[in-house]
Amino acid sequence: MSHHTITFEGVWFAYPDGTEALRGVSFTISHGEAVGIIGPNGAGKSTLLLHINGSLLPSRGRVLIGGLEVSKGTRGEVRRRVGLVFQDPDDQLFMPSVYEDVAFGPLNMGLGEEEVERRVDKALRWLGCYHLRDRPPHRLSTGQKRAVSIAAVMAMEPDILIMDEPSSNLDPRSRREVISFLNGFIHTKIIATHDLDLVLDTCQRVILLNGGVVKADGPAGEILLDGKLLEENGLELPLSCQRRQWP
Amino acid sequence: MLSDHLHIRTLDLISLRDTPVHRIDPRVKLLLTLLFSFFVVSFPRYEIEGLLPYFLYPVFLLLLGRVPVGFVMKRLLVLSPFVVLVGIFNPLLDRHPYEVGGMVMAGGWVSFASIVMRFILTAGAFILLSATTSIPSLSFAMEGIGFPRVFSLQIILLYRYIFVLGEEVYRVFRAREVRSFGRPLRAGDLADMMGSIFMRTLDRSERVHRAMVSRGFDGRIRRPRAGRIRGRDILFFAIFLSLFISFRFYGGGP
Repeated sequence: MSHHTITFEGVWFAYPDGTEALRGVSFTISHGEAVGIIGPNGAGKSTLLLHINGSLLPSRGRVLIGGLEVSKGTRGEVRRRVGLVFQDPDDQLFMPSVYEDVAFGPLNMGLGEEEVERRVDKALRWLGCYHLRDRPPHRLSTGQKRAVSIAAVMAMEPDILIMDEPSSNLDPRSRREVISFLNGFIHTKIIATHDLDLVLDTCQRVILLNGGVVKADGPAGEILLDGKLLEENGLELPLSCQRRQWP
Repeated sequence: MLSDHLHIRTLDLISLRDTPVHRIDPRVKLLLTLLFSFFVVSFPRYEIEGLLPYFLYPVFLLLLGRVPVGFVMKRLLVLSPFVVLVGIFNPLLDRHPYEVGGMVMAGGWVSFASIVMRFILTAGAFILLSATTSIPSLSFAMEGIGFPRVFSLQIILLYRYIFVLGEEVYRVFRAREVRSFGRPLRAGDLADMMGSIFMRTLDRSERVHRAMVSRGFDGRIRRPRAGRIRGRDILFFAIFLSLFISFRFYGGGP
């Protein structure tokens, strides 16, 4: 079985305070698919993402990554396959310099010094931030921080890439750079976002989540153009598909 | 709190410069500065002349590290009340005549002067160390010379997030400011603000930990290119250590 598939089987999850964030979520994502997870605030998008790398474990149901069930025992293995880029780069970048931060994951994977160096250089060049390698993270712009936090995950060479709100707080050019990066990543990727235009640009498939339940699952071109469905779920047509009313 | 934050920014900027002193291996600098303090403190209580040659080390760090003199002075001044408090009663208690450089003074004044000199030397050296070495590399250096790993990890994370948290605190205060129309801050409001800052910090720590674990963190920070000690580091160390030793045993007059 391919390393790159993701299966959710009737996943339920409740936070300790009793909030049921996922209520029976099922889907399968196969190798090479690009899937956008959309839904209103509090729909369960972030909770769903945290299940894919075992940061959270389901209270009921199963999550399988490449046929391997995610559990306490398999989390380590799963995290080698799944790269998760968090929404706030400040949560992710904690090492004293960019280079050390990008090397953090590969070093934890037990790779040799030369291999680490090769991967870090490659990832930094890919994201266009090689020149930032010696800078401390607190002296970077938001766009640079985002690029570095993506590089930090790419250096682990994951089979599956997951991103939570990759375009939030970015200026248009940095957002465009994230989009072109995403389109250059050929393996499985999952993007949770409110930026429906970004989904339109990067994903073929969309899963619409609301109240912890999958409301729709299908081709991006169909779901993102279904104004009625989107509005019922607290969303709107992507901006590029809306007709502006000039006064 | 906010001003602390701003001071840290100055220190951060100075410590990231690129000079011959900044390039010396942090472990070597830390160990040498610790030894330096040991030598300075080891002199007898009335010593003045024997301490003078030791100014060579801080002056070397200051000049070659291109650290602004004002920066060091300000920090020494902030710390000085403690030293004055420690030594100020010496002139009153100790009135034995004592001869220094041909002048006869009360022993208490001599020992007070000696305390102040030691303070300037040791505190100055550590201020200069922190100004020529970034705090994270300093904490890795602590680990390198045998301090427990827990400390270095704490300092690295604290130093990284003090900038993020400082920014957050600033935003909370500004949000109050723009809606308070010049009314003074009440204790109750301050408590609420601190509470909300605390909750945010807690949330953030959970997210940071989650992000670290997602990249395979297991309680230990591994560093790339841990940095080998080079010839010139050893040279720097050897020269200054032999100077410290000779100042101690052959200096101080006949």
